[in-house]
Amino acid sequence: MSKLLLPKLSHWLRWGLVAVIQLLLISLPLADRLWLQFNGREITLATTPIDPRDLLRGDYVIINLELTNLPVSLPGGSSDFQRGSEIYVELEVDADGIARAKRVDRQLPKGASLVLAGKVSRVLADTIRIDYGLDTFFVPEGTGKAIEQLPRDRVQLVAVVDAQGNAMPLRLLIDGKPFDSDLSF
Amino acid sequence: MFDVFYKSRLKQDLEVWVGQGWVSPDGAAQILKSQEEQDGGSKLPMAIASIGVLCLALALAAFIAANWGAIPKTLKLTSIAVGILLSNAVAAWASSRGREMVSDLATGFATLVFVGGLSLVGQIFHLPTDWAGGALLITFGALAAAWATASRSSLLIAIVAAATWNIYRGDLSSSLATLFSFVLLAAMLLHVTRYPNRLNRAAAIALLLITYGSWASQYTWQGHFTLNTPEVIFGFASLAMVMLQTGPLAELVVKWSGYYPQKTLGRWLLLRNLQDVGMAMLVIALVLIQTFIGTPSQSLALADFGLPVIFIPMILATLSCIVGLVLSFQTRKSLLLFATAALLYLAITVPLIVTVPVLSAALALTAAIAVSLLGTLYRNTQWTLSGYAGVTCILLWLLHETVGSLLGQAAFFLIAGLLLLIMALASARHFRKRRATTTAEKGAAA
Repeated sequence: MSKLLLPKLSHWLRWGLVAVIQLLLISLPLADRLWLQFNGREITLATTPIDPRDLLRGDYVIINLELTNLPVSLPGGSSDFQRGSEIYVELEVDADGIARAKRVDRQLPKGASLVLAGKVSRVLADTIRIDYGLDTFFVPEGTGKAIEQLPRDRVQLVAVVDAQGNAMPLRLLIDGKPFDSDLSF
Repeated sequence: MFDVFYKSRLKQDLEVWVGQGWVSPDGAAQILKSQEEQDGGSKLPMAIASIGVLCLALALAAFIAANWGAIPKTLKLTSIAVGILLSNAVAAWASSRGREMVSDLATGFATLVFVGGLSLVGQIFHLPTDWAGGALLITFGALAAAWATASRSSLLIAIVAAATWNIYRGDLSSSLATLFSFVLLAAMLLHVTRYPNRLNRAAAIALLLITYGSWASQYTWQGHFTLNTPEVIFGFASLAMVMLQTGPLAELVVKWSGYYPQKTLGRWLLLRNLQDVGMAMLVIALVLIQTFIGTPSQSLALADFGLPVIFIPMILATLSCIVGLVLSFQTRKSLLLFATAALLYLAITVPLIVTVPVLSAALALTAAIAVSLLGTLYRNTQWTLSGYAGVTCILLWLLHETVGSLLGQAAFFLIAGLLLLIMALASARHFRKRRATTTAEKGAAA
């Protein structure tokens, strides 16, 4: 075989380089998520799950967060948000430990202790629909349907969120208890 | 299927060559024997191994998708890393012993494990579905493996991933992303020329069409222009013109410049495949323009010609045709090729600009006939069949649509039929004369 790019490297070095590149590419999203997990703060969110399947990653539950549809009447809310634009939702934790929307902003609010960043996916006359990247939760094969059939008030999502509002799902709570104990590192 | 055509053609040619005394009967027998021996039997174990590797990769993908809780995810991630390292090590070992096919299979498997690793990370951290982002990461990993190790199997994975990225990139439709998609395409095409492989050539040509289609679709995504069917067909036809003419034009440029680069097999095969696909696309565009959108209300607005996605291939197609025609003035065969290409392009363009159905129909029919004749001249079965298919479709359309009145249509077919018969007679006479002259010259020389 011709060796156009790496003419002087041995076989072991060439394939070693490929392995390093592939492992580095896998570690990019891995490192990003690990950093968020270890530096973020846990919050609990109310949900309405449904259950489809991803070709490569298996069964998952679509998490329809209560925070996905926010009324435009919320402080800072407006029906002139553009589709695809960034939106920051300031949260406050209620007496049941559930994080609820307090106000919305177009920029990261200064001094806010708990903020969730998202993108506006749709604007209706009285509602803003927001995508936080928190809507997919992968579960062991065959368990998604059972979760989907539970009443919505029994299922909650624990997410971890950093100071910039970036968030990732961490665990599902069924009746306040973790659905699977081995979902976080 | 194409091997069957080739072998049948080879047998016919060998008969002629033996008859002419260019190839000895023993030599012809050796060539045919060699062809029989290359029937693919020796490649059978590798073909079975390829399917086996694919099954292993699918097993891994299904295992990851099952999300089996009994194995801790740290162990799953470690297994993926070990899988990548081990597969690449096997590939390096096989390559060092000259077993290139085994090495390629192992490299391809390593790349599939790498894809599995990305899926696993996405599953563990519940990453939202992002086909474009995932496909781009896979493209980088697979392309790195393809170039660093000359792996054909990894290139195939890279091409599929790049095609997926092009299809799903949607809102990432900046000019920079479009430019990057063409850089990726160039990397794939270059690999195919350097390390020839039939499947990869077909995949790379498909990627070329997908990349262009993705670029064209950006105009609907961005909202400031909306490309309709006529524009898309014309754009693809312009691209097909470039594909058809690149090979012959390169040969002419080489001939006239006196610079003779090394003519590699991979480059020649790719140019040849581009030519064949380009010709088929042009005939399809010709039929589509005539049958579906050759109506006055659907003609192309002048402003649409200014869109980069239309303008750039149009300029490239026109320039390559003009340069080809000029450079081939002493080479009758390639002159006919460029003239046919020009006629095809004209027949595709005219219905978009003016609405004279008789002119459009006459041009389309002439162009389709010219393609089938060119196929005969170049002894290219695919071109001939494309031309016949084009003629059939256009004739059926003309019968269905009726150009003008029925009397006008009768006159149209009468003139077309007479012209073709006169052409056939003239060309038969011309070839008879040429054969007679050649025989006389041979007799004089003897």
